[in-house]
Amino acid sequence: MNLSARAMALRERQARANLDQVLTSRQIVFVTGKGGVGKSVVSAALALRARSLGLRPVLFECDSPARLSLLPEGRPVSDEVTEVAPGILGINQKSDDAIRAYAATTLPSKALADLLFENRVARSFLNAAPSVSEMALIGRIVAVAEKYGADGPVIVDLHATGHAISLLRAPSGIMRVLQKSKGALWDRAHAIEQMMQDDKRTAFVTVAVPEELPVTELLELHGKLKEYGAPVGPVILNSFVSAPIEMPAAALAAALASPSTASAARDWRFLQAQHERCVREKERLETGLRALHGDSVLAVTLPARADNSDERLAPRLVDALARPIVVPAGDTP
Amino acid sequence: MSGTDHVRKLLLDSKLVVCVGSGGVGKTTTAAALAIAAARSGKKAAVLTIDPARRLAQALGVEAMGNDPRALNPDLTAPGSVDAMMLEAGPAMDDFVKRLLPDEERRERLYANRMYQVIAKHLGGTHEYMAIERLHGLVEEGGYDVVILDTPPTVNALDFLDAPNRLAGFFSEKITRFFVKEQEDKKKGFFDRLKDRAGDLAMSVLGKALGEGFVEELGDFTTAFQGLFVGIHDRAVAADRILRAASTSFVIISAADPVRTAEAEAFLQTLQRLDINPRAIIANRVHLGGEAIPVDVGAVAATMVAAGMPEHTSVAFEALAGGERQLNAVRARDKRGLAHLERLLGKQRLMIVGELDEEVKDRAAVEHFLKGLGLAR
Repeated sequence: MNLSARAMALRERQARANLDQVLTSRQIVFVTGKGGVGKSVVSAALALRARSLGLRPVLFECDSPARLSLLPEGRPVSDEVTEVAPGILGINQKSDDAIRAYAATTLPSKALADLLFENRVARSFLNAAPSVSEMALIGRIVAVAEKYGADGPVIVDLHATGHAISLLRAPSGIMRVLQKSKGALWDRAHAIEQMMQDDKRTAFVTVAVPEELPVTELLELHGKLKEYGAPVGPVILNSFVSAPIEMPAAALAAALASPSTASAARDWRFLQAQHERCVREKERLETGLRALHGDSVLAVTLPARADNSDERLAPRLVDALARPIVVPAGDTP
Repeated sequence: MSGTDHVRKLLLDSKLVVCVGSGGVGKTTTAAALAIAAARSGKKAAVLTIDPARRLAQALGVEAMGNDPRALNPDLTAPGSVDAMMLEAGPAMDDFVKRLLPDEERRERLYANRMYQVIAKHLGGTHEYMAIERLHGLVEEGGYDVVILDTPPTVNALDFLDAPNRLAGFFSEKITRFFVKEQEDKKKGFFDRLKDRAGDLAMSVLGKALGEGFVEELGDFTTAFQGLFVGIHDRAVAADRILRAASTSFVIISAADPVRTAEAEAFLQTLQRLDINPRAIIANRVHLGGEAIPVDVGAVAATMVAAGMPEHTSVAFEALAGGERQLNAVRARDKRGLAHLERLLGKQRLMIVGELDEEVKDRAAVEHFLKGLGLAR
């Protein structure tokens, strides 16, 4: 093993320690990244990890389509906070209901809230007015964190990156509109914005897969998060294809040339190419992160799985996180 | 009808093709490939992305892509043509306002309005509204034979489909009149008028819920630009009609792993609830072929001996057998995924594009895709 393998292993270990630190110390952990990179399963894995650290996390889904529970022994998730797996709370917040729940907290009675939502005009306004639904969702997340955040993080499975950015901008949008009159809503938006920029209470954990466009988009997202002043936690690099068992180049060439072994050799070459791509993209990711954040943001690597969807995946990812990293011997870097 | 014939017919018959699906399945590549295929059959095509993530430029190998149409290299598209464009909410909104509000002074007042600035530049939802507006313009007045639309991943795409309805609802006369100061009401305060209006208590409750300042600002905005909203409403209604026209085809793009096939099914159900019947499903990045026969230790030994390196037999066998096991698991998974997708719209309407052996990008990926769909030249 060479020194760079040792350095990589040490960085990986530091990245995992950073992730545990974020789960232990923050009230809200936003999980975001491009669509299809596995945000939901990573969010579920983070909830399981938080539980194993002795915390009582809340898994907060936003408008999640009905699908198999990603947690072992998972129970149905509703729009109220309930225990969805032993030691894990969960909620699936629908946008419409978020507006309703949010309005209920700002209105003196439920009867008034009902009156508002049964009115077609008011409903229509709420559905279309700019930033109201985003603000309501953020408001709901913060309310859940205020109630449960002391016992463990609220892990928020956000939509694709564009949506995450709209959510982040909602409070300042509201504040901008209200800069003349201010008032209670301005105060609330201001408090929420401060919370989202507070590195003691909030962290943004981003998820990518080691492919060109997702890594590029992740780095763009990090540029925006930095611009916004959002506290950034470790990056989760999901679906990393590990190297196939090594084979001398001459043996591969011979296997490719022989009809009885050619198809297996092509498969081996395919896996090797996938692995090399993963290594290359991880390096690009780390270089980009270093340019933006110095050494404060590292990448945690999670393995690719063939059966990357069933309810066993999240526990497997957590097992992968808990597995010790072997640091090759060498000089201390 | 084979899958290939189906795609051809889809391209020939549609004025608008909407590509939907979750992230990471090659939706943007599909949109690009379909536009190029249409051009190669002699059509004047446009491809439009409303994904703020800006991937179409990369997929098409175009350096920069913006709000204005940009023709792709004729080498790629002859004898037809493809104009590619990306939607930027700010400029699109300004263009839109210019058309609806030809008077420069009123326009300047609008640009200076804080509510407008926030709507145009800072808030979610604008992309969807503006995409629909742009789409309407392109399909109706753009002079294109076919417009291909690349949509954002799942959840945002649903917003997008619903945007015209929400917009039409908001800007309909019945709604906006609550915000608009009419001449005879001049002396009354905004909230007094709200309470007068059919005793509509709900609106004042709304003021309490959102903060009176918010509703007040919106009232100023709406009053100053009343005429604008009639235009927006009409166009939103027209845009909704376009999405439901017989000449519009929706295509669901998916991969074959179970997460994506479940998402494709959820997508199909949502579209059907909106009274939209997708014409086809495209399964992309599929690991084709059944499970490979496990590699035989005797065959590896014979190969290595023949190549003069018998000492490599054991390591080569371990490596090859290990790789085979790993890929067979993926192939078995994709086979189950394809069976799932087949059940959704039937075998005839499922088109399959294989995973690439090596990573290719940009134009090569588009060509691979066209080959997979049987549309390569």
